[in-house]
Amino acid sequence: MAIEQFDPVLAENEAVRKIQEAYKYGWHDATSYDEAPSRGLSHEVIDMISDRKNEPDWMRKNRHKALDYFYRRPMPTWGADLSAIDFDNIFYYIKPTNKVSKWEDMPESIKDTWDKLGIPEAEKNFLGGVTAQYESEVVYHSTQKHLEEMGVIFTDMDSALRDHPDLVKEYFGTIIPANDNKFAALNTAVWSGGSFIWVPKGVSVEVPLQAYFRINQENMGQFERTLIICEDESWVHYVEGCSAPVYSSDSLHSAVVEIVVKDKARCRYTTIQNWSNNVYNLVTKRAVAHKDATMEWIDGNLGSKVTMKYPAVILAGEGAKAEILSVAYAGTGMHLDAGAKVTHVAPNTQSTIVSKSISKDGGRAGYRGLVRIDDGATNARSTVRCDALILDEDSRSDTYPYNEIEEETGSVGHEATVSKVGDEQLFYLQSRGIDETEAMSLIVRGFIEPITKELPLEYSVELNRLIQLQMEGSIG
Amino acid sequence: MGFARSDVEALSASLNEPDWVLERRLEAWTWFEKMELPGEKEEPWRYTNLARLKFKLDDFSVVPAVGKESVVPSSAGSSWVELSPDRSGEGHQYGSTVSMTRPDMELDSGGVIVADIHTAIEQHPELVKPHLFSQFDSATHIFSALHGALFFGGAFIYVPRGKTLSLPVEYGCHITKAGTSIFPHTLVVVEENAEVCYLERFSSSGLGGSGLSDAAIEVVAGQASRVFVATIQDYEKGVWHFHNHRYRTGRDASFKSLVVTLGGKFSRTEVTTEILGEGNSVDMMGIYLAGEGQHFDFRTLQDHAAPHSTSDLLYKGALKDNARTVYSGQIRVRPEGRETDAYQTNRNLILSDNAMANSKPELEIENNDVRCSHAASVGQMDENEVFYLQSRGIDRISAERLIVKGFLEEVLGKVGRKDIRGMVEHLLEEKLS
Repeated sequence: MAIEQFDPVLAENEAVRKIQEAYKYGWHDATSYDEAPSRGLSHEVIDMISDRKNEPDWMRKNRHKALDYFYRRPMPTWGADLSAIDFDNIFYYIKPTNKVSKWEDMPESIKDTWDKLGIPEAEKNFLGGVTAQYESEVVYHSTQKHLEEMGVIFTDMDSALRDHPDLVKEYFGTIIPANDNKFAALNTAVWSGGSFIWVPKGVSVEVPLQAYFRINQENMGQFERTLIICEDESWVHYVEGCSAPVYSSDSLHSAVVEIVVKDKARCRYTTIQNWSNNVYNLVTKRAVAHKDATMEWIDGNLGSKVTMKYPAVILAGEGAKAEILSVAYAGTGMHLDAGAKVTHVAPNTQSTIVSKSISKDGGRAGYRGLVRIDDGATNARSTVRCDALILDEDSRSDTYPYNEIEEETGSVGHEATVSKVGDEQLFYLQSRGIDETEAMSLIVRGFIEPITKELPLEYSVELNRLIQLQMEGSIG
Repeated sequence: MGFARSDVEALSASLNEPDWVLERRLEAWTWFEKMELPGEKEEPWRYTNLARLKFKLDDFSVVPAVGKESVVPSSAGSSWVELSPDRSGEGHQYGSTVSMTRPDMELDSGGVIVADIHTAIEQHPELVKPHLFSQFDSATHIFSALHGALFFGGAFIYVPRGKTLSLPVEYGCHITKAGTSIFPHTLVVVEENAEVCYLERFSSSGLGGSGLSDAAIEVVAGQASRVFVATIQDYEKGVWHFHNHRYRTGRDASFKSLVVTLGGKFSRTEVTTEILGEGNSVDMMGIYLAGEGQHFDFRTLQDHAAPHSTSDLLYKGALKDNARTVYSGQIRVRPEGRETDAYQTNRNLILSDNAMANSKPELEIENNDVRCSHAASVGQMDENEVFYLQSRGIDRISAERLIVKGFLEEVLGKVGRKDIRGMVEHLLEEKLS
């Protein structure tokens, strides 16, 4: 393959060449943890986490209550097969080290991980702030000075609970209640880490804020909790990335993300999920958009064994907008059940959902979505567009859209297509001297272009590169 | 009120049925006893809550003393729109009587059979036994179980190889008494290169109460056959209608189904087309007009298990007053379904503040060499269109009616048979005026 043509710098890198056959972030670092971790879930584990974090009493109670919800709720029987998750074999809390704010202060082994992932480089060049979470705890955090001066709070969730308890208490669990679903209950019971962002009224954060999540230990459960509050007329872009080593047995990632976008504010939340193919990724993400606010989810799912994730927006204020872009790329052994949910509550609200899924080498990618227009949401408009590419005979694509319209003046349009890469397209490119693999890769990248063009440049390069790597050897 | 095992045994005995039929009935009854009304928690019933609609099986019972008679009551009621005098066969069931008449000239030659299902079980077991309940599954839900146990009436049509019935066979199902139920089961077997058009109609007249209609139809369309199946439901507002359509198509078959739903308090229609042979061309069409107090629920499956086939589904409906409609459909392409073209479209036109439509089109695609698409929309009438028509001197009510007709025309245009199309147009005209 002619990688040189796409990325000459990358092509010169020996290391990149070597990892082309394998999952790029699949190494495992030997890390010595602060305390010996133990497996399994119980009310004692929750007390242990709460003690360790020295939390206020309301949060401890909240956790215990959520655990009861978790026990009571049945496993979901729809979507992906979750029967293989062994809740007793998972580490619910591992503290790798104390948090530092200087890169140099990080333990060598962990620093090494981030260096390999290119985090410090990225921070230097284009980010307003970085949070890095390793297992259960945030191990590194920094925010640019001028953002702090403008009053922006960007910190990890544990620190936020300590330093801004009133803000956290006001919003925590209000968008996604503990008993929303089984995995939200689990997260509420054992959450640790995650980001907290508060953007004051009228402040625009011009550069993206980023978090990076890494699972290192086998059978680790990562349960970060993120809360973003955008006050009136503010703007923020938050970016998260995820990776994990390849193990023979499974890990669990079950995050909860709650976002409040107040009047005329705008929030964009970008995820590039590239978990290794032994991670169950079961995430609940929901935002509430108030009057004239805009919420944008950009959701790239390239990894994991199983993903069930349906970023949601509740359009609660008149004139609010939701935009959800989703890419799923399922390879061998992967089942990505991704999608979107929008509820139109207020009049004159708009939503757009674009989903692109690609399945290959026996992978299964799908879209599952809900558009609901409540009675009274006059003139609400929604369009949903789902396209799927199936690259070979062993792979599968599913589309399950739900449209519920209770308002006469509401309108919903849904369209979906499924196809293979057209022989004509391939032939055309080959007739121009491009070999088959490369032609295929070009077509796939063209297919997801509506999404990549919405990403920050570095991410769209990264996404394209990942797809490039995954396309390697896809032509038999 | 309600149903009992003794109803099943009495029915079977009065029909003097062979053991294999009674066994199937009792097996279905066993399912029925184990089952409950489906709830919203069950995905196929997500938008249809029978308990909230105040449906109770105990409100209904079987028609006493069923039997076969060849008496055709003189009138099928005022709501009955005549198709045309020309038919290859005509049947009716009124409560406990089932009849089937047929003009002999076309049929006697070449082994065509047009009969009621019980006569067919008695006289042509070798043709009926392999197909009856071969697709229909009594264990699907409580209504299929009850149907399997108590089926009574329905047509049996057998068209041997190479034969064409150019005129439709028509069968009417009528509920005549409040609180009673009917369970017609139709079986159509079309051999290689044969052709048939079957029309099944559901109606009631002066019922003055509620009724239960729990029907099923099974069609086996053989190689290179040409089959058209139309069902028209035009009950009065007290009737609960459940209808399970099972179609199976062989190689190079051309198959069309049309489901027209206009009446009843409640209507649940499940249509499955299993494409088992290469080179099929399948059209599935639906038209519905839902008004005051009506709840319609459609569930379709285009199941592609063979290569090189095309299926095209188009369901369109208009809703007014406080009507509720549900459409959920799936295209499934199995790994064998190479070079499949499958399309699915559901469009809803909302004409009032309180109407509500749910639409859920699904795709499950397991082969990459396919072209599949689906589209769904729910929206109200375009005010610009109304305005345009009004500016041409047409009053608002007429303008709306024209727009609804134009909206449904897309489906009618695909029907292809003048006789069926004319009749459906006539019915729509009546409903809309």
